Amino acid sequence: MMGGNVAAGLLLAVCAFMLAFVPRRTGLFGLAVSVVMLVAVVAAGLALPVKWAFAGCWISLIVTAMLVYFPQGLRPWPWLAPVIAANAGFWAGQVIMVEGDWHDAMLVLPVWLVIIPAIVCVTRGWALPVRIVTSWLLAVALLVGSIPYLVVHPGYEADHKE
Amino acid sequence: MVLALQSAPALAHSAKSLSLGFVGGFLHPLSGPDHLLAMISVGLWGAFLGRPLIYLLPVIFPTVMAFGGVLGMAQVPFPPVEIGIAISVMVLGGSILLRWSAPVWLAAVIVGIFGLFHGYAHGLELPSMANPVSFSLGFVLATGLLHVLGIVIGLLRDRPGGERVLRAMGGLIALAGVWYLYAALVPLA
Repeated sequence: MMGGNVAAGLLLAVCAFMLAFVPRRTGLFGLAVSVVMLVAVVAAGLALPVKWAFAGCWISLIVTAMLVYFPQGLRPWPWLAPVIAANAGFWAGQVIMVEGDWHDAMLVLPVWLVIIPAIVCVTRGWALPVRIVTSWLLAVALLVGSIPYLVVHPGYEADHKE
Repeated sequence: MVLALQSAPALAHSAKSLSLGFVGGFLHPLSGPDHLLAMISVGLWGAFLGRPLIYLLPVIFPTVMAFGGVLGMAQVPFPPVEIGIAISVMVLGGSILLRWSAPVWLAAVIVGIFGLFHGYAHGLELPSMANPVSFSLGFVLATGLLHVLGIVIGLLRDRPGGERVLRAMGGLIALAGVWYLYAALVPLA
């Protein structure tokens, strides 16, 4: 068990935080693109090797988190936000496919709702809580993303239930 | 036959590993008073130092702690962790007691180094957990909430007599740090 749903949820949450910092219309377009990409990956049953899927998920999370800290990096290229959101949807779909199906995708999609409090915070000038929570998610990603490359972990080994 | 009837069912796969991992991770920083005091002290000290450290420290600590966790998982040689954690409690408590207004870069470096020690301790225990994702989520969330608790307690500073109370708390935390340091050093002697 690698916690694909949790990994996908973390990535989508950070992506939602990133979209809260871009203009409203761009953010909503990015959200829609991300959802479509995730559903498309799951529906098509596209599945990369497990390590690739998780590496892509964690790297995407780190890149997306950087844009939460430095949203001004997107100003010269506003079209980049939907592209990054699509990337997040793709990798979230991949890690869900590792051990789940479309039911799991439906469970993860409500994570997008964190965009609502994030937008409220950002528009009122309280970007700080959004950045603090992002740092927590980033810390989790750094820790968990490193495990498969460091040690043989019993939780990652197939057992008689799989 | 009687003994067989009295035996408990096997719980090898209870289908609760995700929640157990999360709860285990969440309780990890709360179950160790040294971790707990250090986390609250980070928030308290940040509240004492004001902007920008009131929000920089809670951002820096978890990120650097994660690097420490990776070092712990990789079992990279590291100075004695218990001593480092004890010193973190002592220094953070002492900084609050003395109302030390450290420069931004120095406060960030100090908290970062302490974050490495705390993360290393977590990292050593992480690989043996059933679900590392939810375990990590739990202990990072608990750590972050302890920082927030420290900041909220630190807001007492603006109340009449609040600063004295906070400095007294810092003194008690520093004393606890001295005790932890003693306890960590005695087995080495």
